Amino acid sequence: MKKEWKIALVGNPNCGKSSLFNILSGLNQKVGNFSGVTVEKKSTTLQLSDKEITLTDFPGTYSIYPNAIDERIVVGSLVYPESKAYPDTVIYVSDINKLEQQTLLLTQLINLGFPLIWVLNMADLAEEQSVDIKQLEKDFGIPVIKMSSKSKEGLEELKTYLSQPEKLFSKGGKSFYKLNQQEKLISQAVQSKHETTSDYQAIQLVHHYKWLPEITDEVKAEFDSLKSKYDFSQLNAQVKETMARYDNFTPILKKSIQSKKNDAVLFSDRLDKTLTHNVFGPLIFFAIMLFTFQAIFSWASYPMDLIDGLFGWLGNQINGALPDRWYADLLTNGILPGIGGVVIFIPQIAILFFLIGLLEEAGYMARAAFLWDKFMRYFGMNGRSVVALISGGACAVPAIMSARTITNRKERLLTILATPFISCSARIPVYAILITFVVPSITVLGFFNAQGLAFFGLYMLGIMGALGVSLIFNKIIKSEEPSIFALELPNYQMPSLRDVLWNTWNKVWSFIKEAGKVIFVISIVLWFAASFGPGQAMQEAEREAQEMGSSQNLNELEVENLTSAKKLEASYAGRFGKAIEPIIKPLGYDWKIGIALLTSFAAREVFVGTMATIYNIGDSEDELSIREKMAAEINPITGEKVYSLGTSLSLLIFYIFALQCMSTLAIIKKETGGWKWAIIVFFVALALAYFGALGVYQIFG
Amino acid sequence: MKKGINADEVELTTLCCLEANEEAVIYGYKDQNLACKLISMGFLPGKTVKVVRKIWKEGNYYLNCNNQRIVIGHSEAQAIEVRTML
Repeated sequence: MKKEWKIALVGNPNCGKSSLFNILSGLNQKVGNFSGVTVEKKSTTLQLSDKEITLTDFPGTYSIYPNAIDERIVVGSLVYPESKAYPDTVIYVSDINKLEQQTLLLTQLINLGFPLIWVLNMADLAEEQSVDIKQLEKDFGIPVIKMSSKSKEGLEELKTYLSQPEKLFSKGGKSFYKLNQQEKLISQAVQSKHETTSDYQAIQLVHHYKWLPEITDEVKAEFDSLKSKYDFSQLNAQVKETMARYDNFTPILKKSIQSKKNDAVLFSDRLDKTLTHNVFGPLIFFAIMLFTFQAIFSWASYPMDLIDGLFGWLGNQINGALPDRWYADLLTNGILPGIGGVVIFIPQIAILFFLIGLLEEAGYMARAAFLWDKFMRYFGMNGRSVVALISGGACAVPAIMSARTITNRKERLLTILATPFISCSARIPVYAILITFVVPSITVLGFFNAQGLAFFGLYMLGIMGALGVSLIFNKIIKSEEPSIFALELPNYQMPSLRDVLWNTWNKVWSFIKEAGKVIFVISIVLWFAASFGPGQAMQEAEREAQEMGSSQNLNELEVENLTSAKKLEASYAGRFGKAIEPIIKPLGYDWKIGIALLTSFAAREVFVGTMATIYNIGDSEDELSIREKMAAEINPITGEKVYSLGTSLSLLIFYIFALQCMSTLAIIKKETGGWKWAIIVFFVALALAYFGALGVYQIFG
Repeated sequence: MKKGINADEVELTTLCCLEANEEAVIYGYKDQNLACKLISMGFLPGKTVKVVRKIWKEGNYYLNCNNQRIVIGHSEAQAIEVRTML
């Protein structure tokens, strides 16, 4: 008997599939990608009786004919048994309130020959809907379970089915479509040369062979000639098949269901009158965004203070416990401040992910796409791009991946190129520090925090950059491909706090891991580069500081600070910073900022970690926070503050536009199929950042 | 065409000619790619569609078809043929 069993959760978008997956998997989820692509794959392993069951949550799709790349992943996994994600059995999930619209794909899966069970989800919202389960089971020939992911009705029954998939999942579903003469001839020709699970699967290969990664060129040529021999038009065949299926199953479905508009539908309709209103809709959208950025600043300050205190305490404890050796110095002055400089901003990042998650779960994001589609088209994108751009406020990597739902290649490319200009959560640490040098923490108009408003303004600048870049590329890139905007609006629903928190944790943890790895390595490299210099340079710097101290009658503390500063200047890092100073000086930056600027091309959040490492090494007053040290930094030549209005604004502009994120460049390369667009957008961003910062410093510096 | 309706009682037009709160019956699609997409979403010929809201001039359409809310762009609305009662 087979001990491992692969089960796929399949269904239309917004059918509640992911909520069901979360209930079944609990916290035991593995988030990865489908083989070879960046479509997120959530799977879990369940131990039920003697079987190990791998349950995979597939992206939602309306039919076996995909319109977007993420839908192709589902279809590719279901129509081709050689694909890695091909399941043994399928749980088909439908929203019980939309059975007529969500049965098409089920009938196609039956024809593909999968053993199935049919879960009618959202039963808690179906008080006004009566469904005859027994009749449905009889008419479709497969087991049907009525359940609710919220109240957990039907969960135990579903688990019973999962424990014996080989017995209880039914393969004998009723076929609602019979191939026509042309399709029969083609499928027979395919089946004569290839092993298939059914005649319908054979014809599906001819529909999808051009993009199925596992199909060889030889087989592609064979299917090409089959198509021309039988004059097979995929679009015609698809429309005819879809219409025939609806004609066959709709009357049968109607026997089993009696539906009225339920409360959730009426509530959503009422809410949409305001939220998608021509005038109020966009105003409410802006209000929600403004609230989000206010929340990031106001709510996060308490946990941030706690983390700050914790890292200070930890540093002191380690200092006290370890002997005065190089590794203690590396730990307390290199790694700990580097990591701490970023960890402190996790509350802000978590709040952003949490609020965006709430908007997604509540069903608001689709409304935002509707409201902004017309506007986005001026810039060559479409309404779905808004979802990617808003998500870009959290992190550009998943946001760029989410552009896969955009079917038009040019609109998708423009969205991918524009998204990195939206200020992501990794910019928060940089903005948070620099804003405090420019804007006082005061209340304006009786309610708004001035720093929160400034924060909102920075995001607006990023959005303008994104739209501008899209506008330019829209003029340059030519495309004849048709653009289709058609989107289903789900019912509004109360978000599941558990699901949103779980997703937030997953994303924050992934941020900590990814940023942590880079910062850990850079902190060590920086500590080394800032603690050592070529030849006798460090000793000479120390001697020079001692001599200056004696000649100027400085006290012990002043000599100590002077020595640290001189040694840092003489170190490898100092020399490197000095070497690039001519390029960055016109922007108002000194060599210390230059080091941070360069290291943050790996990931922009490294800026703060770098500053923390540099200032910890170069300063003996450890009790000051990194922000206080930066604020107190004086230019020895001019005697003015290093982080003056001009320099701070110039740095802000640089960080708004520069594409300082290896992960983003890697994802652009992957999603566009090569380095070309990643390199182009990198240099466009760099030019915008450099010249923008230059202009600002020349005005305010 | 709906049963019981004479040919001279209906007008063939496109969805973009409808105003908010007007209803019509979907007749067909001028664009096959659009047809494939919308039919798979349950937006079928023969179904009654209501324009719930239009966003400004030549903006998007918020539609209700069979208790399902679908939003489409202006160019998509131009490619959907509908029949309205005269």
